[in-house]
Amino acid sequence: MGLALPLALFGLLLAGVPILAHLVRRSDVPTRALPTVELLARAIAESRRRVRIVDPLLLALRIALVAALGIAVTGPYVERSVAYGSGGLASVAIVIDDSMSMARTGEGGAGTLSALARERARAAIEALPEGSEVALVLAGRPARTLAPRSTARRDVLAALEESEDPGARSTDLEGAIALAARQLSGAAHSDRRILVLSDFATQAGETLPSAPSGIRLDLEPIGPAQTPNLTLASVDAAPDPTLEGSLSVAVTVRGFGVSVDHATVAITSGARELARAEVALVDGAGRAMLHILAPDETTAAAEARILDAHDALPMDDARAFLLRPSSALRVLLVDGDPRPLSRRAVAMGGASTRFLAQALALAPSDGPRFIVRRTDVETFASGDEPADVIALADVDVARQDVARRTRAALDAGAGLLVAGGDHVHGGASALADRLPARIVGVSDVARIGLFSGSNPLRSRDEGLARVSITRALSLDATRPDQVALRFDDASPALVIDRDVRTAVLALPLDDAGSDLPLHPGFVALAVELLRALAPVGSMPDEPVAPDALPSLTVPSGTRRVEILTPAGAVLPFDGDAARSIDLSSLTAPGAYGVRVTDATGTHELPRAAFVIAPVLEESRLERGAMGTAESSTPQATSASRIQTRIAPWFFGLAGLLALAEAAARRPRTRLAV
Amino acid sequence: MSEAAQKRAPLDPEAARRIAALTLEIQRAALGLLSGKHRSPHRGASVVFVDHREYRPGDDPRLIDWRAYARNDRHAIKRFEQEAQLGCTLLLDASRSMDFGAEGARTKIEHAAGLLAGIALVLRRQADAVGLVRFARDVEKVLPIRASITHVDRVLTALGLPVTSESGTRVRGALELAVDRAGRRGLVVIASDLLDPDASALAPISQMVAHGHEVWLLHVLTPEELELNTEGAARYVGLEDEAAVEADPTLVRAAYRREVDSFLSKMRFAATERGARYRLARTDEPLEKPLAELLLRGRRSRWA
Repeated sequence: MGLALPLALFGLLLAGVPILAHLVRRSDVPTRALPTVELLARAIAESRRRVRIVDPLLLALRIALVAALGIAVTGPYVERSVAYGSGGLASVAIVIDDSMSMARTGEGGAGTLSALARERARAAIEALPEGSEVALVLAGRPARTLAPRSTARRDVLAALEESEDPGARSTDLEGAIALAARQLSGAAHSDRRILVLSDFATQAGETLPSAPSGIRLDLEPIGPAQTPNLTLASVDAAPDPTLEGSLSVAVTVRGFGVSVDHATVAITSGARELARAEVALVDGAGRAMLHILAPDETTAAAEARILDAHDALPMDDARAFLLRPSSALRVLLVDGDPRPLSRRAVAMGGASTRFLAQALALAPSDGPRFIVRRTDVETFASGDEPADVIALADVDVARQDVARRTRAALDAGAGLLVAGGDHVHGGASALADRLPARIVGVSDVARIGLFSGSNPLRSRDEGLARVSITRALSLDATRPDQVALRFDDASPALVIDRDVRTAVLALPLDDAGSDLPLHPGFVALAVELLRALAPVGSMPDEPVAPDALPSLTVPSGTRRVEILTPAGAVLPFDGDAARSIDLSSLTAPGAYGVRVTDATGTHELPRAAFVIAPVLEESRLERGAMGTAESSTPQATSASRIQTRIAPWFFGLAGLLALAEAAARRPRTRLAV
Repeated sequence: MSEAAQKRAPLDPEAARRIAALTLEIQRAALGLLSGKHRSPHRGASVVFVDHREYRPGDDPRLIDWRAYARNDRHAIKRFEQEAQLGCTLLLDASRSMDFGAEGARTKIEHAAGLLAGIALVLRRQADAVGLVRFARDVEKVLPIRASITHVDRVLTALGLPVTSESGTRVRGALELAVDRAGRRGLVVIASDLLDPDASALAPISQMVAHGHEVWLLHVLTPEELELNTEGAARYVGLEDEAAVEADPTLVRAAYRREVDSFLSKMRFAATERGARYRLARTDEPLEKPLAELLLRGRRSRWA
């Protein structure tokens, strides 16, 4: 309890007025003569017996009346603490930071900051009076709504209870605040607030978000301002060219606010330790190179971990990495006309495949990379080298051994490109049933330009319109709608069956029958064509943050998809080849595998393996500008103290006392009269 | 009346004139030494027949009514009224408490003296005799009962004297003295505020009545004493060494009035039970009003 006007307490001195008046009345009276004073004395004695009770009561009532009025004037109030808000109805959007930095433990081992934030949010929700609106927004990137604005407190609390622990998400406070502001648009109450519960670490942003109009923005830091942290900043694995089957793994360790000068990093695969190294830290950073022998082909990923880190954030002490690039398309170029060439030309795969290899090497990085391997027809026919796409350049597809090997590769899920050349002839082909076009023969008609067909590639045909053709295969497309490129006389130049991922190109891939490889559009054409023939399901090779994880496209015919999590759990998804699987719910850092079930059985998709890793900045556990602002409008808040004015109660009490005084005065007057 | 006596006269001339018109009628027969206007209880030689009485030895045989003997065969004596001169004793309370009255109004002693003076004037006009006993705690002055004009003037003069006593009231002593000095049957008029702590102050009235006196008690009080009609708290002091008290009239007026009523009732009862006539004489009412009630026949209302 407190007083708004403490000095007004001097008004309580007025309570002495009745006493003073009583005393003055007793002492300062005139003297009068009355012969019948004996009678008066007896009358007084009789009256006093009754007045004796009433008088002190009256005096007490009057003192209490004056005291009550005096206290009321001082503006008394009762102060109580509420977890959040003004004590009145409000529309509140609570932004909870669920980025990785919130996974650290708080001071004194009081749970993670995320748990503290959720507990704080619960307290804030419960502090709001019934009828208040509450929305929950998560500030891990991307910002998202955990519970829409609602007056159903139970539902909101249930959503809060069911929210997951932080993963490897980065922070998007600005986006979350904007989302929270949108949640509050059209809110029922005029008191609109956004409560941001975050550690406000550096990565949260250096600039304060402006408070949305008409909305009060409360920033409440959770956890300590700075926490020492050791993190495995990066892990890069690359094949060691000096030793087949070995990998060079570069690890980078960063320390933020730590005092250690070295860290031990180990690489493990399952329970098996593959390598270990001491990393010396200089100015909080250190790098080491570890060499490991890659485990068997079935093991897609390994994990690097700082041993004995013992810091507040264990999540960033380990990073998974893929042992082999998963998204790179393994392209097997089969040269049907190998000839002695220069060493460089041979390295590029021979004359028939040289231009294609060069074009794939120039592939832009916005898509899967290409791992190009070269071989001749004989080797191809007798080998079983796995490949995602087989490009038969100037290969006689009528050969049975080639057809058999190709069929096997197609059955294994590979794509196929058949390109023209001197060794390709029309007529019956052992692969005819797999190709989207029948090779009728060879045409020596000179033609100019390649143009989009009925099923065009996305690639631009600019630059292809001036291709000069002197020799090309004559194709008969099985389905006209599969013609991707046509000659100027509308005859098919490129036919693609996207479903089975096979294509027939009427032109050779070298400059023997056309100058196509010499035109600028060739690179784009080659890259897009090979990517179109590749099996679906490829994922990025590099570790990605959860918010950057692309959707997973599974091969057609897939009945069931299962995601193998780093913790060993299996997350089932309904299989639908035509549907991309949203993986945004995956936030735990580590290597993920993908297992599919189709008509041939259940098997993993090596190319679909991926790694989720946090951004480095999430490991810097220092409070940023947003959390340390002192002069800006939004301020760090804590529990609010609500002052409830009780002066009206005292005025009411004074009224009651006045009535009581009148009631007590009445019998006194009756006694007197 | 001499000039000096007139100066101290308790009656203003106008009141004296009005009072003089009144005639004193004694309720009870008074027995005087001289023939007078008043009937005597003694049967005498007057011509006004009263009744018969059986003859007893020692009676004057001349009073035997032979006609009654002839009718009733009994010796009866005829009785006749005898007119007598009235002897009146006036008792004036001159104690300290009687010197009280509102500013500009009559004090109790002035009012009491006025009443007694009025009676004295009426008696003088009827050639009746008047005596005076002026008392406080003790008897201060005694004038014998006489009918001469100069004597009555002395009585009036004595009535007009101011209060000199510092003492309280002792009614009983004055009444006992009056019993001794009132002589034969007559009238005794007492004017007092009766503020006497002695509970048996009026006891001698019984003796007076037994001696055949008619006793009138004029209870003289001021409105202030009767009603405590002043405003504002005050310290009240008595005039006869009573203990002072502080009181707010507003608060105690009701109780005070009850006490006064009780006091008046008590005095009235003490007087009437002993055979006296009681009249409350408020100082704020005209003198002639109680006098008229006293002196005129047929009055009823204010007399106990």
